[in-house]
Amino acid sequence: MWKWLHPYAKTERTYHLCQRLLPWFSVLGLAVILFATVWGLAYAPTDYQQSEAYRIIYVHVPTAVLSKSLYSAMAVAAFIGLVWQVKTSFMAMMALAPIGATVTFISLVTGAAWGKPMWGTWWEWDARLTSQLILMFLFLGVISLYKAFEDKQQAGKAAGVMAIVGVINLPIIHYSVEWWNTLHQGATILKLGKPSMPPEMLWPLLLSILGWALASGAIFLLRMQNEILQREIKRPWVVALAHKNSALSKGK
Amino acid sequence: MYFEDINGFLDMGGYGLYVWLSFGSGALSLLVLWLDSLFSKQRLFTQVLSEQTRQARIKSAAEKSAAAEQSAAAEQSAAAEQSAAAEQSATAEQRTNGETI
Amino acid sequence: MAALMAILKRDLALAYRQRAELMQPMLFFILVISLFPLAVGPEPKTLQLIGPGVIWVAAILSSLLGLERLFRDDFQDGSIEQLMLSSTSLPAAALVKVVAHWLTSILPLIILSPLLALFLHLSEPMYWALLKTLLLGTPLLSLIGGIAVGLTVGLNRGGVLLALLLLPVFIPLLIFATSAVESASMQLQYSAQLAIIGAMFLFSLALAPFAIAYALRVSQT
Repeated sequence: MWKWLHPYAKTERTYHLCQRLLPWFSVLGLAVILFATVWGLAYAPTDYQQSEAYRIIYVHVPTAVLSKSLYSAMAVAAFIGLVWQVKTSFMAMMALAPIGATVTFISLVTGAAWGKPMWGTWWEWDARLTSQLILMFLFLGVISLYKAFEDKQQAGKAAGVMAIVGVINLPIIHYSVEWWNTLHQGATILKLGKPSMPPEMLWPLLLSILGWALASGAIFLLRMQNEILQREIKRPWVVALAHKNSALSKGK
Repeated sequence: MYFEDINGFLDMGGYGLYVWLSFGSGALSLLVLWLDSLFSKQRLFTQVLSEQTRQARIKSAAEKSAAAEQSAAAEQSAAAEQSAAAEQSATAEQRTNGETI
Repeated sequence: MAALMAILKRDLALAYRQRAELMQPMLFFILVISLFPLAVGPEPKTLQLIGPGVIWVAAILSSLLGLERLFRDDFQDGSIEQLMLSSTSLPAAALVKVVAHWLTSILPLIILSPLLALFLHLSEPMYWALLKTLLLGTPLLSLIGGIAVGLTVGLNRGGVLLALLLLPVFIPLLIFATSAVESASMQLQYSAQLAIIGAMFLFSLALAPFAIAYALRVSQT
């Protein structure tokens, strides 16, 4: 059933696939993010409880959702790499990791910026922010582990194991942090939970999620190409590409 | 448009700092990530090309030294021939000198 | 003098190339501090009570982690031996290496400290006191730590031994630093504590380089 995927275990094939997909993902990603953000910022109605501050949702929720899906994608790539010994899968995993770390970071910063007007403090140890912080640690751990190895084959396998350990732990961490939070429920009741949204608020939110996903996809394609180039740097097809690239820029 | 004017839009009901801080940091982080990925690609291509020139330089240097060795060897054998020839003519001269005396 | 500047530049350049390794103590610092709210609950008053102590203990433990690389690579490739044979004064060179180490391993922790003060809900006067104790006290960690690292650099399993050697010695620093922040939280003066930390710093600045040089010679034989 997966035979059609087999050619993409070859780095050259995958590189050119990324090249073909890149313009679509970048243009669409940018366009959808801009469209959805402007819609959410300027055209969506206001929230009666949180006034205009709720609009942070249009960047906080997409990045939070993406952070979890990117980690899962990273773990899937790790699994495929470890079980079927596919080098390109490990490259995909490491291409995803910095993107995941970045969107997790954005979700933390926007969460804090949302918390300040709502709770009165920039940081609050609530269930969601704490889970995001731990997710951030998991991403940074996988990246640090990969960078600690000289031999990138070994590095991929080690980082892959850590990614999988992390993904199994994610639901456990999530539920234990939620349980911890109910135990220590402070006087401040957070209103960052999933509000029941009217469609005029929901549509820009869904579109934002799509836009961020597409933009992350575009950056993933770029970084995947970089991983491939780095590993295959001495191959003739890479050399030919480099020459073509310099000819193009000189021609400009 | 939900807001009456641009000022209302920027002010965000008093929460302008937090809203724009959020979207600003999101945009900035995404931009930095995207630029880093783009520049890495350029750097990798430059690295490939400089490695190529370096290899070419090493190759031509190796060829030159090999060629130099060959010509040095050729010179040596030519010089050896010359000195051998010179010796022969010197001994021949001695013999003729000896004979005339 | 030029030789010492060269050593400083070299150490800084090497550290820059090992950026990924330098990140590890920083991540450890943030992680350890994050464990405490999870362990004792997020109640701001509790966190404020334990905050200064937690940040200082985490700083000490993180600096212990980063201390090993002070002499390890140079010892293994023979640079320390070269240094001993050269005309440069070994104590001066050791001091310069300690400075480079502080700049690359401990200063980042201090730069992160505002974020961590935020995590533990420290008040503003408390944070300023904390910052002063960190700036005055962490060089002590590098200086005295350098002595123990010089002694254990040749050993195979020096890691935990290093901690066992250094933690008792760091206790006075911990006591005075946290006392200073506690006084700040009660709006009291804390110049006495800072003065004592300053005295310990100057004392070790004067003597530690010689002890480190001696320790390196002991390890080299």
